[in-house]
Amino acid sequence: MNYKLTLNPECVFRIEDSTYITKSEFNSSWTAYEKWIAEGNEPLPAVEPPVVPAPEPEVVPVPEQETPAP
Amino acid sequence: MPTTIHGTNGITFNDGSTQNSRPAVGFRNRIINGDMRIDQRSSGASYAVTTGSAYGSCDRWGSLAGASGVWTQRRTATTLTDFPFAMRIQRTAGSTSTAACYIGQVIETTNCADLAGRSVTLSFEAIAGANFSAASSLIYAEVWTGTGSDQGWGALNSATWTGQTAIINSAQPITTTKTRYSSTAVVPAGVNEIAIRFYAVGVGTAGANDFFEITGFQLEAGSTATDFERRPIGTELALCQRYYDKSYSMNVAPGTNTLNGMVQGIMETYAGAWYQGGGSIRFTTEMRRAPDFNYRDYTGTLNRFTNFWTGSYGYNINPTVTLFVSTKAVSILETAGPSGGWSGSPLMCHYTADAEL
Repeated sequence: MNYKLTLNPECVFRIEDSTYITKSEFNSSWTAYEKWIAEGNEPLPAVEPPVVPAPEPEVVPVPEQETPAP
Repeated sequence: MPTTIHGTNGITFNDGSTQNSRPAVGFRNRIINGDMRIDQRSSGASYAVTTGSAYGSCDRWGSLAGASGVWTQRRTATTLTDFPFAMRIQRTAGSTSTAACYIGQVIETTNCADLAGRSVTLSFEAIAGANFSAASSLIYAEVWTGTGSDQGWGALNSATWTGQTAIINSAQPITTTKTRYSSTAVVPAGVNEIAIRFYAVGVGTAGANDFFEITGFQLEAGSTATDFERRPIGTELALCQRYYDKSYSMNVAPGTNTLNGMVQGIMETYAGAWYQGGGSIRFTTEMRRAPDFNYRDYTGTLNRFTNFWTGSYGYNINPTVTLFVSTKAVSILETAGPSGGWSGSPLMCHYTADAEL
């Protein structure tokens, strides 16, 4: 049995049967997952979404001000 | 025998049965799918029972065996008009294993806690196959109680229910003639969960017809077994869907290659270099708990979608997703696009959702 985390901490992916397991004290699948963790096992990490770069700020040049005549 | 109304001892009907108190009239059967009509998981296909507590055949009926590869369970069509379906529990021909095979149903706490302190009666129909090998043709019928809440089929079989106690433990010899059997017991005060369980133990080398068939289960309040309660198929299916739901038609097994009835999981869009997609699927009825969930493309491959585009369709589409599941629906967030990329296509899927006890 092996599991993979998802970005939702209340839902893990059970690799054996490609099933998403939901957190509930009344879910024997989830209690089996917790027991597996308690035995020292580690699930695979979640796939992080790609980091979308922030757009480059548009630079608007400040117009030069004319120096008033003395 | 005429019907007799006693002054203080209830009514004796002309079939000899006595009712000491007013019987419940509707929805008196606490067992769901007691006549095995509904088999959403396997649609009548044989299910190989393993040593792990599981659900694989008729809806709401859990299974377990003392050894894997010895027993199968399947919904079978009978030739009977009163019970056209039964669960056939069969020892594989040639097997010499004497491992037991179990079926059972755990009743949700909210549907049985009111029975604490009252008499209950279990009734069922059974028939033995021509080579049924159990010693003295015995099957064992049990009613279990506990004081916890919804601890489930697995915990029942590992005897870890809080206060787990058998109030009926009956060894019942059966024959090759279908017969209805019943037992009555009192549910102790404080009970909060109830299950029924049946098992048999094979002996010797299994023949081709080493099986028994069982159906017509009813657990009801009172000290008399009444006629099996007939509920409309739509009602019975809705009761089952609280525990197991799927996109496929009722009699189409999950994993079948079909486009019929797929639901939209994700509306895929493509913005520059980044996929953006999401969607939601609403369950047929509100489920007992947020269910375990999986999805498939139309060919039946797990964890894949089917894409629809320009009058055609594909399969094996594999975006990375995160699910947010409630008792009513699942919301799907796409966190990485599928390999190959399919921008602007609805990603369709079949699903199963399992919230069994």
